Amino acid sequence: MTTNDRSLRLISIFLLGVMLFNFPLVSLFSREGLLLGLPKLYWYFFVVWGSIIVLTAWVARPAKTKKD
Amino acid sequence: MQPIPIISISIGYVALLFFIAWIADKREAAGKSIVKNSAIYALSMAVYCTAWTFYGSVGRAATTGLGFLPTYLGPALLAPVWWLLLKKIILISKSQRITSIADFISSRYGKSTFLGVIATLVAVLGIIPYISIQLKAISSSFDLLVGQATASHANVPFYLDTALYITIALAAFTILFGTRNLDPNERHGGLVAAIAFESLLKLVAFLAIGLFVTFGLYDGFGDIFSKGAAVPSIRALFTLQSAGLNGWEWFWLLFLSMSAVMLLPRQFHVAVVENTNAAHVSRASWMFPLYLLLINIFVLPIAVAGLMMFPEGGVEPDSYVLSIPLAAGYETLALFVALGGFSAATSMVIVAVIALSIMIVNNLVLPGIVRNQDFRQDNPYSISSSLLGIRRVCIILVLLLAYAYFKAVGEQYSLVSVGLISFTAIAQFVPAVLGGIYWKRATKKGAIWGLSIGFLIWAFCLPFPTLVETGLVNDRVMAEGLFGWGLLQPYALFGLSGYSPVANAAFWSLALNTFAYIIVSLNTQQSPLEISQADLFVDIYKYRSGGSEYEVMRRRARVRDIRILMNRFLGVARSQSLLTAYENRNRVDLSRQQTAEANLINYAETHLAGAIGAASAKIIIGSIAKEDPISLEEMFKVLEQTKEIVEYSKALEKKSAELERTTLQLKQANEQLKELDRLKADFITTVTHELRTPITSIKALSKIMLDNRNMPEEQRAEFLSIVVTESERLTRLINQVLDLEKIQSQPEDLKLEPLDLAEVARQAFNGLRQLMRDKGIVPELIIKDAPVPVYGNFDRLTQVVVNLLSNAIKFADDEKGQVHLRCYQGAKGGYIEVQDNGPGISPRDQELIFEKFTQISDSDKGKPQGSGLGLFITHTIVSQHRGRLSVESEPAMGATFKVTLPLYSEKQSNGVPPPEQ
Amino acid sequence: MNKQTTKVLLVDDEPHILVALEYLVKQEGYQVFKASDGESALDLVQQQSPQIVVLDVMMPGIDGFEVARRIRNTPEHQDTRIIFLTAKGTQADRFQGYATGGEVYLTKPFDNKELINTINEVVEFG
Repeated sequence: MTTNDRSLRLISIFLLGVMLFNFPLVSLFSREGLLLGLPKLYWYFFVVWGSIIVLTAWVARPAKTKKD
Repeated sequence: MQPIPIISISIGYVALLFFIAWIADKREAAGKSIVKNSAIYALSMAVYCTAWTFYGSVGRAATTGLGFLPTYLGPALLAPVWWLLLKKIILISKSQRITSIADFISSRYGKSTFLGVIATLVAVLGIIPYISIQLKAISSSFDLLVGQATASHANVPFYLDTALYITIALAAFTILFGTRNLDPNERHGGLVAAIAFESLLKLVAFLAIGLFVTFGLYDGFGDIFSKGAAVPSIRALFTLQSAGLNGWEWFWLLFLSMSAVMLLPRQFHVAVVENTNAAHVSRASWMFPLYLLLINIFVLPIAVAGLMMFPEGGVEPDSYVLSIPLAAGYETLALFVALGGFSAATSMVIVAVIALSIMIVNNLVLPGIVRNQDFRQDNPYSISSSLLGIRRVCIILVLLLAYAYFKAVGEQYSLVSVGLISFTAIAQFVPAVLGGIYWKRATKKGAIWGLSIGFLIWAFCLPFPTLVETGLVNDRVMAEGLFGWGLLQPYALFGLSGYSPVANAAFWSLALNTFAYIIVSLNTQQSPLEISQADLFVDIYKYRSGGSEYEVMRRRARVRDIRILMNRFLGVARSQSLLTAYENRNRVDLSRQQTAEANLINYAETHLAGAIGAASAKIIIGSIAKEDPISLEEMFKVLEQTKEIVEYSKALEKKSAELERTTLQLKQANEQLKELDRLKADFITTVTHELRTPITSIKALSKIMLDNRNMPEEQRAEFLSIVVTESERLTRLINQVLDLEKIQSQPEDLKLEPLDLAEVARQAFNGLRQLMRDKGIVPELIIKDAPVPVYGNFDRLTQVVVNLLSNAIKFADDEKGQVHLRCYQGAKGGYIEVQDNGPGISPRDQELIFEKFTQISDSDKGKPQGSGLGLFITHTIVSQHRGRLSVESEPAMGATFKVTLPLYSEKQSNGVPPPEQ
Repeated sequence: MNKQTTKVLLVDDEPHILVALEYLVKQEGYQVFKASDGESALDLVQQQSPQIVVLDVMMPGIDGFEVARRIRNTPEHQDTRIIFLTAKGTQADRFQGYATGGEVYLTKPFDNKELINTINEVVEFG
């Protein structure tokens, strides 16, 4: 993965996050009622949040060949 | 609980922190640093989570549900691009020895002292409320633990107020922590270790209370939420609408927290100034969000539990994390949780106050002090120790200010609402910082205007109304606006209402800040230093890889002065080691040098900047260096020269193109010359042949007659007539050559007079008519009665017509020869046309035939006929008459020669094409 | 060698020169043929097989050098002797003349005696 590639992917994650963490998408999950005992919105935020962390960790992982 | 054990535990905890810091420093000195890794780095960044997080999030969740989350979602969102954004800021800061966010901004915009002052004011005034809520959190948690009713601190005399003693204790603590080092520009490895430990502790404490509430008091998440959902007011917290949050508010909360996580003085300090390796950013960019996620998982469950446990109110939601275990009778757990809260608050206070004090000293105090002093006097007294003294005073001042704010207003507001005031202040740095690292054109004036306007709007919209509540300001302002202007209401600025004060203030301050920043930048010029700094910041990757120093200052200083300066500000030992390092790296012996080279001056300035900030370093270096900044004029001159060079090289390119063209032309000319040469050689051969042929006949026949005196009379007569004919031929040839010579050498000899071209044509035609008939050619003269008046020489023009006719006769078809002669007056002059029906002339030959010596070889007729001079003579004569001679022909279709001569009625000088040569 | 039976072909595009040449060669006793261009010269060589050809170089159509080359390339005319008589008098021309198989290269204007002597010598000594 080239530096430029990595930059683009990280920016994409950022933009995806901006979309997912803002209205109106957020309001789609802002519904009454519980899902598996937890509020739907609670699920939404923590699942998306966790996914972003995993994605970032994957994209930002150090290059296998130590070139830096 | 008794206060004494609580105080002892707190002091023990602080002692533990010191121990950790001491260990870390020792390990670092031994080269086995424990802080130089990305996990510690990520943990130290968790200084972001303060008492606001520890106590305030639950309080916020109890009123707005998940509305507490944007403060953590923002940083989590931004973290993926840290690898681009934060890394760049770190690299810039390392190369420029940046000491704070204010220093960063000042340095970017030409190391401006003024901008540094403004940025420091924004930071200090913006953060004071934030520090005050930490004081509030610590003191109220203390109150809770000792069982005091949460009495208002405002009404307690200050000497009886626990908050004051806590403040003083914190000041002492911070001073001990942040100013232990005599070498102020060193990173604080021990501090980072202690902060990381505190981050770990507060996370564990918070998870402990979360687990206790969720799985101890309740039967897991499902249990809490399903019970909570039964209460309508609690159920409302599970959605955003019912919590009163819309997209606009939400967006601003995200935005503010995104700016805060990078630009808050303490965040900048741990993430940038204390950073040991820019590569740590990539792991921190997921570890830090993970930390935030973990510390937030139990916020909502605790809030819901608190609301269910204290349904009738009376307990501050901000204190649920303590009140719940206390109410449940778990005092030890409560103490542990309070320790977590204490660590959250202290870590924030320590780092924030250290960062602010560095800022205040480097950007407010030092520029004033150093400006008017001559540091060249060799004085054993070192500034560096007094710098630490100044810094200690600053720490005390900042904390006292925070205490004052807490006493005056802090108590009436929730932790989060006060914290957001600070976030909004810090967000004012966004345009200057973001523009600073990506937009070279941004100017100092743009940054000053943007920051000032944003700061004023912030001050008016957020802290100002809090003063109203304290009675310091008349409350009429809130309803009627400043000076009675309705548009200037703090919570409905410019008539925009319906949103929370924070969203309103953030929108207006940032919009106008950014607008002013851009507009002013576009309309102002950068100084040379600004240009170079802008370059260094924006193109940091280029300069890092190129390693080239960018020189805009032509400075000269004595090596001795530099040494003195460095001794005074960095201490003798450090300055000596720095200079030795410089000598080794550059392979120079400074003791042999009188004048310092630009490199050394830059080197000294960068390292001084690490101790006292860019602006101050610039000033004190300026005090010893003879500084001729390259003026704008000179800069332009340089640019001009560059432009000239570019133009010159372009001109060179053009020149070489011209040269190429000339070469080509020369080549062609050479070819033509060669061709002419060849033609000339051919001509000479031809003329020689032409001369030799008649001479051969004449000589041979004469000799025969001479040798045979008794030859028959008829034969002798025949021979004699041949001799005469050949002699005439010889004469003709000689005359033609002479003619040519005459025509070419003396064109002015030509006597021009008005004449009738038709008459010329008629006479020449009549002269050759018989010859043509003899050759079986059908001649035709096409001519009108009207004269064709031209200006010319009758004899010469006759020669032209005769030559052309002779030519036509020569080439006309052998069997059915036809020659037409036309003479007429046309629009552009008088015309003579001679047409034959011979083999025609190929296009290539058409170009050549008017040249001297050219003979058209005719493949059928073989040997060229004539001397090759006829057409050339004709052409020359026509040109001397300012006329044109042209030919139209196609192979096998005959040829038409056309003479154009200017009409007599026209002025000779006008409207006539110049002779063609 | 009997001059009466020796055939001399004179080739020149200038009729007046041919007149002079004919008179001189006939006077010497040779049997004379005339041609005013290369084509007819070759025809006459074919028909009459002359022992001697006096050849001009610059002629319409086939020039003298080419005529000589063709004569040389015909096996039955191997013995034909060629004398160039031309106004082209440069060294290069002479060289080309000898290269194409000419025995003698004479330049115009020629000396009557020299020409006759040359023809006699060529006839006698081959």
